[in-house]
Amino acid sequence: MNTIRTHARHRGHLSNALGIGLLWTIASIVALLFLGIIAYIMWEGVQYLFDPVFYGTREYGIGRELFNTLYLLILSQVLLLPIALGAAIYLTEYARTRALVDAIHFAAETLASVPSLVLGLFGVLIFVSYFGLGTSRIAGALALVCLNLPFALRLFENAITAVPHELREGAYALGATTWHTIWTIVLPSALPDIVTTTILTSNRVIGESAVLLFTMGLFSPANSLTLDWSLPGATLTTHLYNVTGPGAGTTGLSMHQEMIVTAGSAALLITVILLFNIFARVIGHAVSKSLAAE
Amino acid sequence: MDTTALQAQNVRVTYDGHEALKGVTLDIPRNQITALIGASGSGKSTFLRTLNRMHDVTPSAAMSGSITFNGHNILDKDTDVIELRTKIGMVFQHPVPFPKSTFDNVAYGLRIQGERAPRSRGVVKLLGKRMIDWKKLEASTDRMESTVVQSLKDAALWDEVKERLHLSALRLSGGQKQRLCIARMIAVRPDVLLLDEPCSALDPISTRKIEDLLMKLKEKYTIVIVTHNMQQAKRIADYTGFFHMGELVEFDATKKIFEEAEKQLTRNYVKGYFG
Repeated sequence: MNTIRTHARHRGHLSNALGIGLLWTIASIVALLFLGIIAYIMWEGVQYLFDPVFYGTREYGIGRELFNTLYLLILSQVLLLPIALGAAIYLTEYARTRALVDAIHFAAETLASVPSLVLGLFGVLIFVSYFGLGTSRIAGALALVCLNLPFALRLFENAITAVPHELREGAYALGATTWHTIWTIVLPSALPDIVTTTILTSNRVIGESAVLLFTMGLFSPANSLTLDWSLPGATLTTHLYNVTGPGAGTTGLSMHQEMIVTAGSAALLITVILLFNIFARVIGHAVSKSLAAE
Repeated sequence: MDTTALQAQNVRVTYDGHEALKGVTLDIPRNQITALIGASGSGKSTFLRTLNRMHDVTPSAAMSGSITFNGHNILDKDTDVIELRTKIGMVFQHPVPFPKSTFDNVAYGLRIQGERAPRSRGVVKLLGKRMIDWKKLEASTDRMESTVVQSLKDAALWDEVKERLHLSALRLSGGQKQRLCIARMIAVRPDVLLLDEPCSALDPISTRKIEDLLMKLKEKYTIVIVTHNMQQAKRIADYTGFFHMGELVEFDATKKIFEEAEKQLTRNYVKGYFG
């Protein structure tokens, strides 16, 4: 009897160990794959990140494209955040009509699964042509808002609904209005998740290409380093695509210079996104700690 | 002075057509502790939440009947719910302080009413961190600061937290958190305190402290407490109401309910035959 039990327990241990071992192996493969890609890109391009010419506007410099990327990042986020956060607050805290909420969710989910190339064409039809904005930074930013809106809306809603209901009731019971409760209790509590969402949408702006090919074009004019939002221009990703893809050999760059642009831009993109993530996490953590007076 | 604080007449509550409260009529005596007992789903919490219109945040809930408070029907459409809740405050089952400092938790309700503390007194910045000198704060004559201090003292919490008023309230123990929730409630000077199972998440020693506190607070406030703990009702309540299946079965002096209740159902419940 005793031996049978020992045996059974032993078998239980074995399958447990096998299961954990299998999961551990899969996790390691995934981690190695990601780290391998990052390491390869950095290995190829990191040397150019210390080259001043690379950041300029002459020869193989990507100064204009880097500026365009940051400009677009700020412009599209400034447009996106109030709309997405406002809509999320309305849907979670105010909306009483279930049908309206469901309709908006359905529309948002449909929009979220539209390929970004299709969204780019939509941007051309609506922002570039119909509103007459032309191939421009503002058209690109608006198209990016359409790309990020469903995504940001759902994440902001999750952030807000994750705030414990007891906190709201506590504020209501002290005579706080719904708006005051949202402003002083709900949003500060949801802030870390709001910051995380902002990082995620920012990363999509930095990394997006298909939408921008149509709405912002591939040519960065000489006056790119100005704040004029009606200018067209390439971002790091669309520039990279152009130099190695359809525009190869036509951009006035030698093959070696094309290689520098490609490898350097890829390494720069990875670095920017990495720094951005670390920075935003540190900020978010610090802000939520100071709000909670910890 | 009128000895009735709240007068409930035929109060009904339905959730999506389901009747949770089937016409409750009850007078809640002023400056006394009234306990509401009954099994889960008996309607006692539902009734408590009608008293300061907390059902308003649940869109599916519908109320009828009347609850008279200071000569006005609380359930009227034109009742200023925000104003009402500063007069009839509520403390909940789970002690959930706001993710702010202890001081800011108690000051929250006062700030809603437009009170502002002078930054210079009591509160000082030290090495970039907000510190609060409790001696200065205690001596402060500012309305808001003195109200915060008094509320913490009334909630029997001052001595335990005065050294760390600037630190997060989330660091307090469960019992301290619940007393903080009581302190932030009484800071807005309500007439009535509603407590929805305030001790069910607390250990016996913390429970004892809250009970002692409530016994003291009834001098200033009318207290209505929902409890699952019949011993608690017996210990602190002057009056007890027994709810069953959405109806108020019996309401009387606590001693009467527990020793010689009129109804068989009440006698069975207080003896622990069901519930």
